[in-house]
Amino acid sequence: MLLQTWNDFGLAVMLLGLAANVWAILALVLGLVRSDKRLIDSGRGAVLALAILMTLAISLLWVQFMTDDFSNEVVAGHSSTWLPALYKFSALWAGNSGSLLLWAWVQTILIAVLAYGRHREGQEMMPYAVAIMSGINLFFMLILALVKPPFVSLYPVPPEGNGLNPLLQDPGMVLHPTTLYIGYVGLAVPYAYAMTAMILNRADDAWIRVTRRWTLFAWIFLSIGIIFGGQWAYVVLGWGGWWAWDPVENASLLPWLTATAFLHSVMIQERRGMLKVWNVALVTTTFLLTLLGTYLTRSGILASVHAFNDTTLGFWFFGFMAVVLLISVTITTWRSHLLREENQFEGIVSKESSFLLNNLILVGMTFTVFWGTFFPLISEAVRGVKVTVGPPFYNQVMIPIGLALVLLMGVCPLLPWKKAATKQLIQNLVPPTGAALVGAVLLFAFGMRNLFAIVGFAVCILVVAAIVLDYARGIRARRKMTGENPLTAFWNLSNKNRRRYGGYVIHLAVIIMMVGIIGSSVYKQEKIFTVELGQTMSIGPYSVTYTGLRGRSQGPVDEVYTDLQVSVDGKPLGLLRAQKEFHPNSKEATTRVGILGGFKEDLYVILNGWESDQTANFKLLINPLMTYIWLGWYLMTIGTFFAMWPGRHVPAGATATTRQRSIEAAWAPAD
Amino acid sequence: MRFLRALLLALLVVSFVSHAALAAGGPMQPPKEHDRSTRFIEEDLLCQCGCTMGVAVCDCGTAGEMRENIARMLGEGQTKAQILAFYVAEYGEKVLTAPTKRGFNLSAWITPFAVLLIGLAFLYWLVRNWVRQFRATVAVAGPGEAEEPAELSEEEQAYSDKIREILRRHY
Repeated sequence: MLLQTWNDFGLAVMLLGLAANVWAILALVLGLVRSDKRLIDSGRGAVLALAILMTLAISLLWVQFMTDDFSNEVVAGHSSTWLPALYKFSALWAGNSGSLLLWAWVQTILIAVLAYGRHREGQEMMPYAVAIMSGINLFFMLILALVKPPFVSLYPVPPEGNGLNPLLQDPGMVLHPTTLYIGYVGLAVPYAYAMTAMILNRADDAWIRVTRRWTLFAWIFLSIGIIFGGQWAYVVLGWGGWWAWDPVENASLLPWLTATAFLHSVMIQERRGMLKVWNVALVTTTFLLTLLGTYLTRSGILASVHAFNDTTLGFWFFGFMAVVLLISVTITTWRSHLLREENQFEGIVSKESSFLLNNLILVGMTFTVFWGTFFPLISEAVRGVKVTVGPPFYNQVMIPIGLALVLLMGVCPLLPWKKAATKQLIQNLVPPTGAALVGAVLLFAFGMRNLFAIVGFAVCILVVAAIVLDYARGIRARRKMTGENPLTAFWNLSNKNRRRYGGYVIHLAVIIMMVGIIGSSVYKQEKIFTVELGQTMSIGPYSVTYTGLRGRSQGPVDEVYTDLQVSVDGKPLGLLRAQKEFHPNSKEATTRVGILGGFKEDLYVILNGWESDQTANFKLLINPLMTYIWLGWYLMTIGTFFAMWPGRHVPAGATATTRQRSIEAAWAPAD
Repeated sequence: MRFLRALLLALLVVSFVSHAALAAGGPMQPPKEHDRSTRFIEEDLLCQCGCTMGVAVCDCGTAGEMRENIARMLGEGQTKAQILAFYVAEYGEKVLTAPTKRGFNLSAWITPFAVLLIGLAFLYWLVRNWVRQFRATVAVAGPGEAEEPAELSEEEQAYSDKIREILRRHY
């Protein structure tokens, strides 16, 4: 019998998937060239078959993980019988093969949705975009077939697997890679449509309108993935922070920054028909940066706590990036006449120019992160000397640029489209600027002396004041027109222009996160104690009493932990557990920090080590306002989904009443 | 692993004894608080255990030794610059968490701001040109013809007038 094991079956499914992928591309391209609908439909069918086959393949691998089938090299390499079910599930993406399979699976589902989804417009672009996406997926299928196959038989079958890296045994690592991959893969959609528009010789903004929700969808998943990664680092890595400017962390930030710039700059093209070449360049760069992120994570060219370190894969990804760049530049140059534009601005100060400035700063930030990430390699190439570019560099360079961006976030909503009259500009800017100044003075009066914190919080106040002002004006005007009560006016105003007001919610979310970032970085407190049994450590208002170490075994994992008694001003708050875990597959002990979180601050306790006489060493931290970072992230997700939510579509030739409603929706000028 | 299990068992026993001792306990001495005045130097040094974290945040033995050394050298009267120079001589420049602001390394710090400033100048030049182009178009076409207004129905015109009136009063 040909298929003797599940691995053989998995391999056969993958090969069938590869064949379906190749046929999808051939059928779609030939169908489009010959205008043969049957071939195009066959290509779409192949895309669906590919998605089904990849679902089968990944399900099979999941079954192998859940049933401890160590005859598969991937399962034996990253799982073990004693691993909890949740981590057997997530162990699938712990290694290169599984994570690339996950990537390809998400991608094929997305391509199938694209091929069979309902399209209000841009139906004629769909087969091209699906063909391009299938071409991208072919690269992953080839890697899975030739370089990192997920179904490789082991003989003899080991009785036990190597187990999962202890650092990955956390719920954060179940969610972080999946959400990040959805974000990465989703960003290929606007790229595919941009290239489609070029191929189809279309100069309009249809590709932007078609992909607006896709871009937002990918952007929010990338944001969620980044924050899940930060939460994981905060809880598991045990160093007291959530972002360390590690090269792999930076790799996920790079496409996020350019995607954010793209989300803003498309508005100029939609509204004024400008920045066509810029938008194509931005979306291409964003897609390339998702590949760069994967290259950095897998090649191991830069030292990182997150890297997979596989030079063969690095070579493949580098080659693919070069091919994508070459094809993109060729297509864009071929259709450069489409991008030539007669740009006209009515005034230097306008909403349009503030969007351009926003793009400049975001791209500048992208460059800074890119430059900092690769500077060690540049230095080694130029001087032959290895250097490190760590948090002090980014804190000094990124903070001023970031503050400028946040300031712009406050000013932009106050500027009108086309041209700002000086009087109007002053009228708009005075209230929020005044609020920011009053806020700064009050902060100083209440004892704040850190300049960065004062400036940072003042900028936050300015942005919030600007948003509130804009909202208040919109509500007031709406009430005058319709006689609605303030709450109804607020809801209708937001609901009738979800894009604009969803954007404001996202801006507010960024401000809430900023408050958390400023508070936790400027006012962090840290103490290290060596304590004997029963002694009490003090940090800020907290008293933490050491009650001794205890040990227990959870399967082959040995845990040493302590339940610390925490009180504030003599009032007991409860027990806080800090522990170390000893996993059989790791030389190093894994830290599990104790966190007592609250709106004001987090008490963060790390058990560093101990002596045989029960003397133990602890690091205690107070991280102020940390919760606001996570709260901001929730709000950002809500705001994005609000902005994405489908509105009422107004087809051409609609009745006067429907068109009236659409005018009403648009009269608060859309961003 | 056996040793570890034995150690854990011993810890378990000791913990029961210790809890009994705690229950009967008298006034306790304050715990030993470690000197963190060295943190301003630790932040500039990378732990050499391979973890890629800073000495200030890493809790491994190597970072602990480096912290002790820094405290000792500070105690001997050495300055921050001297201590950092010692570590650079020992491990090379990669021991520093950021490039120095000298020589070629200075380009690491300057380039991002230089790129932004060049970008800003280019943006200003671009927007100014676009404004000039607009003014030239208006001058040739006349202010009324620069932008063709959309034809509105009577109903839409009335609605639009109402909106304009509200905007005039409130903006």
